[in-house]
Amino acid sequence: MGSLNWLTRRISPQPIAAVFGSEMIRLMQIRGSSEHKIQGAIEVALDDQDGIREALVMFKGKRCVACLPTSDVLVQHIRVTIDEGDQEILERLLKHDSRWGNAEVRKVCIKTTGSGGTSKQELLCVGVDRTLSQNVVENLESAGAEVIAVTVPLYASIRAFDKLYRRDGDEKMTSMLIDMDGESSMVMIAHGANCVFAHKIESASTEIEEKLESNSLAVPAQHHTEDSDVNEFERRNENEPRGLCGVRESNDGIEAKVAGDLERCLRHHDALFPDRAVDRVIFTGRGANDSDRCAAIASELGIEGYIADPSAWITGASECASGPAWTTAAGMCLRYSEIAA
Amino acid sequence: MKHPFDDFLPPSVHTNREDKRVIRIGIVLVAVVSIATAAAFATTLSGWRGLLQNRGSVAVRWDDANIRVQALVKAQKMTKDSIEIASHLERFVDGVPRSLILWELTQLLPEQSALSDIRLETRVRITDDKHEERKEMITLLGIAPNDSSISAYIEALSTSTYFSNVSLMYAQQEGNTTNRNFSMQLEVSSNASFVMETER
Repeated sequence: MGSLNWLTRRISPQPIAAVFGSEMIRLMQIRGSSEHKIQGAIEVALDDQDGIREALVMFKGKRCVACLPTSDVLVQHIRVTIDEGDQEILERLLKHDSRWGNAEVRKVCIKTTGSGGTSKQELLCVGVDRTLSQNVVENLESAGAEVIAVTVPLYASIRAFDKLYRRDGDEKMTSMLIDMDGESSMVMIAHGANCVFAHKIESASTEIEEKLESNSLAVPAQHHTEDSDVNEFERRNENEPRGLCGVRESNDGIEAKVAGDLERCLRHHDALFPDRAVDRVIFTGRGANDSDRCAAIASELGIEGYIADPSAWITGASECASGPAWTTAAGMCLRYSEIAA
Repeated sequence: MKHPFDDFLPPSVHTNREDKRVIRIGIVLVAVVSIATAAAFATTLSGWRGLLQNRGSVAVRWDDANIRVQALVKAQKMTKDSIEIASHLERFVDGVPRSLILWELTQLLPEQSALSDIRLETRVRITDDKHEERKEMITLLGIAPNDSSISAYIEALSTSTYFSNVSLMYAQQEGNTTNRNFSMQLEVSSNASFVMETER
């Protein structure tokens, strides 16, 4: 049976990553398990059902993995005793937000403290409203796709950098990822490839969105990005995220709320792991196209900053799916490529 | 290894999908089995029809063969009967005609001699090579005036082409007379030819 599953995974095309943003859906598929090559990548407007249907035709197979937008994801850190059950955890979560009541909850233990009867564990709980995930599934399946899983940017974005953490000692690297897309931003802190902290910042990028629209940085929907002049800036041959050392800081700075939220995130991490400091901050998502703002954030935090571009690990992706906006989609593709291998 | 954040679809969704997949596969299997059964039934029916047609043809041929066999058996029986009749007739056809024997016996008889009894006996013997060997024996009883007449009669019969192995059984005086009663036995020659002598 195991051999049959392995053979099926090897033969069948890898699933299409469908990342739902605030305004558009990014679809990406790669092929090859050892050397990743782009099969196709396209952006379609969120409400363009016919466009989604047409876009799916250019990919191999119908299997899709959907990724919900950051705004639809519930993230909460809670500290509970070891023997606390799921119901108690849910009650604790409901105290923070009533939306947890109808959410499909997944949790991972970040850290365990104490010993014996007083031992406690820090849980990172992530929830997705069942109705929203069902809507996403119906949206894609009505366009002819077969949704095999629904994931969140929190996980998918970190997977895009798995290649950076394959050597011994790489797990000592502490990175902060800021996924800026639409109305919400997701802040993640990872030890190597393991996510140990996550927090959602609401309305962090509204100003960025307005700025992007005014500067005509938005890529036209339903078109390949390979001919776009904007993406020429994003092309590079290095595997490391692009540094922000030479970028001029924005004169506008960042709003106080965002700065405060990021500071609190760092303090929370430092409290959990006092012996580990964040080494670098990586900006992903559509909002990361504004390198000035990213530089301002990095300066505010006092941490070395980079703009993500995982297209360097996918042959052919630099022409049509480069830049931080494709980080989540690339992460999902690389994750399922790893499973297929 | 699957990460908890890999999938946020409720397990019931996957269970329902698995159930639907199982039902779909089941329907496909049932359809395949049904089609295979229908195809097998159609093939069998076609074969059965062919068999029925062949059975009719075979029955006609069988009846025809029966009639032919009966006719053949009848013809064989008739042939056998005919052969038996022919064999029976052969006994009378192949032997020397009785009239000729009687003629020869009486013509060779010496003067003043008479025959009182003539007995013709046919003996059949199966040889080693399963062939019938037929022998006709004649026993004569008569009266002769003397022994010389009997000898002359024996001599005459021996020289005849119709008889062979002539032997005297006895010759004795009849009462107080000089006549002699005699008895002799002779064999009819099987290769005697039907040549009627016009005059002797």
